[in-house]
Amino acid sequence: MVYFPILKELEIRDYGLYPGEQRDGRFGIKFNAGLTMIIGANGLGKTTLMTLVFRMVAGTYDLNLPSEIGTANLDAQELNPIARRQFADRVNDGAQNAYATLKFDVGSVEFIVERNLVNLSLHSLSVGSQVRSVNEKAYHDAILEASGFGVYADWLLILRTLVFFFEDRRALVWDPGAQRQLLRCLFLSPERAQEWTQKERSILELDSRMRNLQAAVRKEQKIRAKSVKRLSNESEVRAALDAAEKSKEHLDTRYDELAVFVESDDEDRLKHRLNVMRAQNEHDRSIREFERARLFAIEAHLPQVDASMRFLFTRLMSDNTCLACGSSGVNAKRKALESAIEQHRCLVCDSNLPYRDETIIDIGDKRIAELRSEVESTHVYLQQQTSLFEEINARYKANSQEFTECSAERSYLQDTIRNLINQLPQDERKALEQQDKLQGIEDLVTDLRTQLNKERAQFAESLKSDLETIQSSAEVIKQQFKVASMGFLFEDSGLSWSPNRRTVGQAGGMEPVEYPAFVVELSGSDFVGLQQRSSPSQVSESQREFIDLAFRMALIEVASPEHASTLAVDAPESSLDAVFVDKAAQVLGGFAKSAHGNRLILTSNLGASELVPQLLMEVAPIGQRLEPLVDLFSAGVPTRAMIESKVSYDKYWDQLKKKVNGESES
Amino acid sequence: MKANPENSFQEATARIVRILSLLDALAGAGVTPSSSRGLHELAFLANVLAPVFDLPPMDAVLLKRKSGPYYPALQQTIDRLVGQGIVEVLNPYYELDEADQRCRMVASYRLCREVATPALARYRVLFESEARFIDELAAAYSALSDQDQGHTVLSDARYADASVDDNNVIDFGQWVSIDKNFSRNAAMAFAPGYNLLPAERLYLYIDHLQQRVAHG
Repeated sequence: MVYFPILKELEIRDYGLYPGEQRDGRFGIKFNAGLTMIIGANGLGKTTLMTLVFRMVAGTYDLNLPSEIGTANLDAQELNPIARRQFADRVNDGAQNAYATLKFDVGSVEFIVERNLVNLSLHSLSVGSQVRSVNEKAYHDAILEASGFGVYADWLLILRTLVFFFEDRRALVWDPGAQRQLLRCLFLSPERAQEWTQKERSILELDSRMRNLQAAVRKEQKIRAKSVKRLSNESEVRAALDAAEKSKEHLDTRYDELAVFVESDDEDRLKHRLNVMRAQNEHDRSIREFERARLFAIEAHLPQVDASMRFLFTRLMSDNTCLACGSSGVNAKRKALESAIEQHRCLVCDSNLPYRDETIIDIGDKRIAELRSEVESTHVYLQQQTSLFEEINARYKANSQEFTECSAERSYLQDTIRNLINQLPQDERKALEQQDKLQGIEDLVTDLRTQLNKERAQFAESLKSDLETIQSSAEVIKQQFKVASMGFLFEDSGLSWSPNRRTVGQAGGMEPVEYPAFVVELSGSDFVGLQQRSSPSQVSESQREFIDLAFRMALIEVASPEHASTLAVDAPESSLDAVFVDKAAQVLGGFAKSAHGNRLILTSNLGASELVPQLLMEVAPIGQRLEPLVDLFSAGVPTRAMIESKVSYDKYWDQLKKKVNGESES
Repeated sequence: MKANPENSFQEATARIVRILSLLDALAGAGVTPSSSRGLHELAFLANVLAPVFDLPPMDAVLLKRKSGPYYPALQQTIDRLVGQGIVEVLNPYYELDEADQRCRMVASYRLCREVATPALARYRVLFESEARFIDELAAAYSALSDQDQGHTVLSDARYADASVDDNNVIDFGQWVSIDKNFSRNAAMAFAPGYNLLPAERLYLYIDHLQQRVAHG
């Protein structure tokens, strides 16, 4: 079990950007349970305020998060002096006398952290009512003890990727690296989480060492080839050696390329195999639905005929297939049968049937047309998916085959080169000595590769039990995600547990390991059934934001059940389609109103979207709806735009107040 | 899923043979007519347990569904056999499968002996070991109660493996190592140190499934 920060109170003193409503240099925010909405205009310091809150909790350390998070990057690094002055540089006086104090809980422990805003250094620290020594190390230790995380980098990771949702937010659900690191630190014990990181890091270091050495060997091989060329006479051996060296160089490059291709093709073909099987399933479902509708009509017309015969007719009328001879596309016969049913004639001999006082399903109705169209569209989709799969599978097989051949040919050439060098005249001792030295390095590369394989196998083995531990929470995460995502979106959506096969490190030819991962599945107007959306480009921008937010909310809820958390979102409306506003307000409001006392902190521009009034109406009763607002217009320093457009801003304020208080606008 | 027409033909033929042999073996074990649900379940068991008899699975992959195994291509083949008069369908109707939220055909099937017998006799000569495996499997399966037939695989070691979500692919040998065939692993793990016959392992495994269904 881990605990997230629960923000309670922020006080900023003598910081030029926030002089406070009384203009006495004191600005404070109480983060009550529920919503805190920071309202301002461009340039008033909303994002700075959110960043300041983040910095107060994170301290003077941060992670260097690249586009895809890997283990090697997960070190807590001290901020450089420029980054530490980020708040000082925003004000005229360099924040010489400015301080900020943040009160927050982690689990049952209260933290009161005071930092100066010149360089963010700690000024005072109280943990659980006890004054602690003023150094970052003491702060880190206290945080780790209270939160249940094993290393401070993991605390920073959850702050950066889960609790704070800045404008440059990463799409967490589509970043397999970020996902697996979060799942690791949220659902494994601190010891297991650390062991994972250490093992993975050791492999990556070994991998890097081995590849560097290998590159050095290749370079030395080229140099050696040149020196041999200088020493040796033009001979058949020389020519053969030269040709072999060139081929080997070419093969080395191709080998590296193919290793990458094979891994990515393998991922692709897995995805497309799934698509084909789902398409088959959907097509079968639509055929059975159609058959069912047809069978009603056939049964009514042929009550005496045996079941096999009725089924045969049913199928012929469903997907134009004659089960007796296997012919497909028997459209004319289908139409004749339909006409016979409509005109109340026998399907077998075409005689007129006596009137029967029974309800016969009208096969010409709209539902039948829909079902037929579904059978056709699922069939087209199945064909498309099958053809895509075949193409990708063929590519995988070709690359895989070439990779195997390339690998065998490399070994063969390596032996050939050694043999040829041995055939060179004795006076080329220098070259041979060089060869001996090179052989030593080559042996070292081989040893490293063996060691790498061994460590990878051990890591893969230990990952299996970690995978099981994390998977035991997968069902609840999926349920929580579904609740949130269905609230946000109009489409059917869900998460699917889909462990991700990946090679640790970059050296090719190694078995991939299975990492924990979820993939998003979404229905769509152009798709049949739920489809995996493996990249953010496969959904709209609004969907992207809220799918990711739903994923974060699910992780927070499951990782720390029955406990409150903070979710701080900078400008959630930035890509919000107007029709999503009601839904977004409901789900975000639901998080804010949680019985555990969650804190939802949002920043927004005045009048930027309907989300602000909708959310205020969602979380508070009439009369108290303005209470969650933090008004930077009155507490901040007016910008030139605010001064020149005061009338407009006042109008927006007025509209907001009227709207949330249920007054009609005149 | 394969483009090669020769492969497709072989696969289609293999499916026909598999259905006929399953129905024949079930009839031999006294389970006739056989329910569609039971037939798909037995087809799945025949795939996961084939390696116990050192045989390759016909399909080492399927889409996991909440309500149990279902092979669309196999059902298409059954339909076709019905149309050709080789298999007889009894009491077909459709019901809403609430677990998977789809319409599912419910029917019973039996062989039309006069048409199927010559083909089956030839099959038993050509694929003797496979026929023996299917016979033993059907005999073991027939020990399940009528209520349990069609609902047992939900407790199968491979099918129930929680690392594969519903609506995702269960692979036990197509692109993964045979180690991932947990059903086969479980069957091979009975009575360590004893030299059990493959057929005994099938009985023990099906019995184990029955116990799991009975005791949750």
